[in-house]
Amino acid sequence: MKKITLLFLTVLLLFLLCGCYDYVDIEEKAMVAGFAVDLSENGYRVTAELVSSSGGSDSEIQSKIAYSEGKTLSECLRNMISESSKKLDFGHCKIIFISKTAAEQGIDPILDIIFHNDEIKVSIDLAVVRDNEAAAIFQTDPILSPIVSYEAQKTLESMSHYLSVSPQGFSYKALNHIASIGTELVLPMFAIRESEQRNSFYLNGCAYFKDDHLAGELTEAEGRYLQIIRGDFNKGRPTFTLHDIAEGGACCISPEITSFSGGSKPSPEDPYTIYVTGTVKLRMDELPQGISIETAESREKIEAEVQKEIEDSILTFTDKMLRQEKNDIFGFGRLIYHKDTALTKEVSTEEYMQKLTVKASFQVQIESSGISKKPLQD
Amino acid sequence: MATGHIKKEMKMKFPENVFPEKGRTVMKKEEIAFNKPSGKNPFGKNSEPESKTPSPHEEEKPEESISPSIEKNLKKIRSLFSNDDTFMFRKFESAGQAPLRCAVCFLDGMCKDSDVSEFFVKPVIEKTFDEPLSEEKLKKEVFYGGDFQTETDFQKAVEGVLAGNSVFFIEGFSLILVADTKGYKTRAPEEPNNEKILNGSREGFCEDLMINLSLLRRRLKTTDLKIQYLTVGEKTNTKVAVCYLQGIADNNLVKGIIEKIQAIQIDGAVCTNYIEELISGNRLSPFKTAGSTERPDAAAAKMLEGKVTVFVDGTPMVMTAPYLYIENFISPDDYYLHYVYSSMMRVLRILCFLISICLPGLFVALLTFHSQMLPTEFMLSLVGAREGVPFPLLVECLGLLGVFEILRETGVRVSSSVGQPISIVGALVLGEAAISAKYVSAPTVIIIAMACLSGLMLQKIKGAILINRLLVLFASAVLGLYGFLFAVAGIFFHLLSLKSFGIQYIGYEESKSPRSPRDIFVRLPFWMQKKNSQS
Repeated sequence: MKKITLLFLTVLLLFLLCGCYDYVDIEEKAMVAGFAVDLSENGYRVTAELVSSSGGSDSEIQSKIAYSEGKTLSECLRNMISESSKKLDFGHCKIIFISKTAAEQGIDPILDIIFHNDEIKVSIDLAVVRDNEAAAIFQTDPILSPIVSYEAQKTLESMSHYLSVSPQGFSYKALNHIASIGTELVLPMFAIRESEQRNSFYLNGCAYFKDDHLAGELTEAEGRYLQIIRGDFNKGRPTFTLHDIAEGGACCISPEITSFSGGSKPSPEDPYTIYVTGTVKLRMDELPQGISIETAESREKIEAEVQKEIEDSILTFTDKMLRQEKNDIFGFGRLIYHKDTALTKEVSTEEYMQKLTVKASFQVQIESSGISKKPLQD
Repeated sequence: MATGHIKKEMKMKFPENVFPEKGRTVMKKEEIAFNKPSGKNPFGKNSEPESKTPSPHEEEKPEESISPSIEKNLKKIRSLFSNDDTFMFRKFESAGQAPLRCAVCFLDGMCKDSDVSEFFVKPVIEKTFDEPLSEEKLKKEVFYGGDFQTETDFQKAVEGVLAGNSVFFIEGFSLILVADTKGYKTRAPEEPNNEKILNGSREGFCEDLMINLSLLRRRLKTTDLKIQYLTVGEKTNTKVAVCYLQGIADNNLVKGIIEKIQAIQIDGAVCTNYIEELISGNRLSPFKTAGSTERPDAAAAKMLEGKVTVFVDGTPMVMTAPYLYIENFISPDDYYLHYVYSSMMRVLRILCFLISICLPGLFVALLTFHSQMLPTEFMLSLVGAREGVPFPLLVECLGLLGVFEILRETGVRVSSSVGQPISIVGALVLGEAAISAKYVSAPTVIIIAMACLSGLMLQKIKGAILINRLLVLFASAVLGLYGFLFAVAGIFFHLLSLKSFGIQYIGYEESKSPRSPRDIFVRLPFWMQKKNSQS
């Protein structure tokens, strides 16, 4: 009997002392899918996209917009709770949109919020919104998902997997880039297309940073070469111009890059010489008139032109960024630092960027046609 | 074994003479004395046989002699069976100068009349005796055709009549003939409903002890099969048979079981479960530490593993001991089907046990404390489904579990013709209507249905599953995943602490376990398993 009483009291105390203090049913929480950060007169303006549902067996998921202003981002988030009838839950917050003006001012406060809030995941995506206020993205009509934030986040994932035109903006990677020596942050950038039928968003290049401040923009092609130089390229379908092969003058091809292996590494002899190398395998599924891949000779000609274009583009791009923009988004400084830590301490960032020599060397191979994955043979 | 604990529980449950009504279990001082800690394990392999405390059953009762007068004997026995209209007696005698006068007593419906007439009445009434008979002549010349025993104790006459035998009193002799003329109807061996299998034997035990023992002996044609009769129940005098294979079963185990059964003092034991609960220990545990089967092939297979079986007259359920936790997941089918399929099904049953116990608790913990751990798409569908449901998730889960148990219990208790409409109304109409009315959400219905359906696969531990499922559910609702882990760990530790007749309930000790190590989580082919016999 003594044991049973003891057991009963223990169970009772379990309920009375600590029981259910943070028990919250999911319908009692307002699920934040994503939020946008803009600058306002007082400081920041945060607009959150909340998930709501009609409930029942034929329930429909919708999004509601809530916003608040404050001098700091924390104040904005706290004020937003007073506007919503439910507790805000950031556990499924997937993306943070940052306006250009807010990004130019610096993204440190945003990263600070991410890393000091126990609900926001550190793998949350960051993206910059071009031209408009970041909150304007929530006024667009997504195509496949009722929630703008989730569709935008899916777009980034698909882009990273199938197009490789920009690094995916994971916040933990963003922090690494900002905090590390010899590299700069690049985030994907969305733009808004306005039309009479519907407003939509689309991925439009990248935004690069100097420390935590927005410094400039990259085109889609530049974003792709950035990924190749960083060695993060997965798959993609770039367009190359063939000047000397087609009979009727220059023409364009858009082969699919089925596999890529390569990246950048400093020369063993000279740390200020960076080799950007790679092996690119192509699948040709669209052939302009006058272009053939039936013979080894014709394929070699195409491969040579593609290789030249890749190498030239990389050299031009690196030269532009290092010499003109004075921004090492490629992480060459980090490579040098890893090779010789003392070297980067002796030489300033500007100095090593001026000293750097980039050499590109690529092997291009047309592997197959669009209708078969078998290697092409004569 | 913690005999000291058992003593306390017994005292708690069955205090002396608190429930003196008919049919109640009354533990007397003697039984409590049996459970006093002896300092030795009665089921331990290496332990010495425990010094036996004399039980009242073993004490010799003073013999009540039989009178040479039929009238006196009849008067005595009729007074004992007064107000029992099924009690019958007949007097008959032979011809001649020294006629043999007899009286037969039996219970109507329990006795085969034709056997009584043919082998005992007819030989007397057709004969002529001119001089008194000796006992020797009586046995050899008169009742030579019948199956009987001579007894000199009047109590044996009463027991014989109660057992369905016919008892003969003979004038001038201070003895009785107890003739085996049992003739009551019994059910033929049929396939047990609870242990249906796809392949293999369709025979099941029935209510008659002798038929059951014959079914067992047909499968174990060896002189090593030993059967010991015991009697349990002061009012029911139920015949119990303890069976084991000599050389395979541990002697201490057999001795321990027999001693424990002998020590039982109870008004009646009408089912195996009475004996099981009284001798198996671990009374507060929701897990059964003694097995039961209705299948002769399963009982024989368990005996080949060194287990002891206990048959109780009047019930088709046979107790097997010791009982290991893994046996809850073993089906007789495992040994009739291909070993790959059998092994997969066994793993599936173990998974179903985990699903059945853990799923509702895990669901509540994840949704109410750790929703960020769920995939977003899943979360979106859950948000949509839960919107508008008026009850907290815990209440919703408890309600659905309650409804399921009601439906299950109703389905079991009613006839099969009503069972199907109940399923349709309960599962389809009620479920669909509850979701449409937003009383419950569809994902919760799915989770609870999955948990309950998985539990149905394991009929042997349905009670333990229900209790443990509720425990995990409450702990998860209070402390989230921490509570879930505490509850699951608690169940696991409890299982580790259990012993069944001296054998570790969970976990494997090769020296003690009756099971082959290759027949635990999976059933390896027979050619890879060791010979069962340890000798």
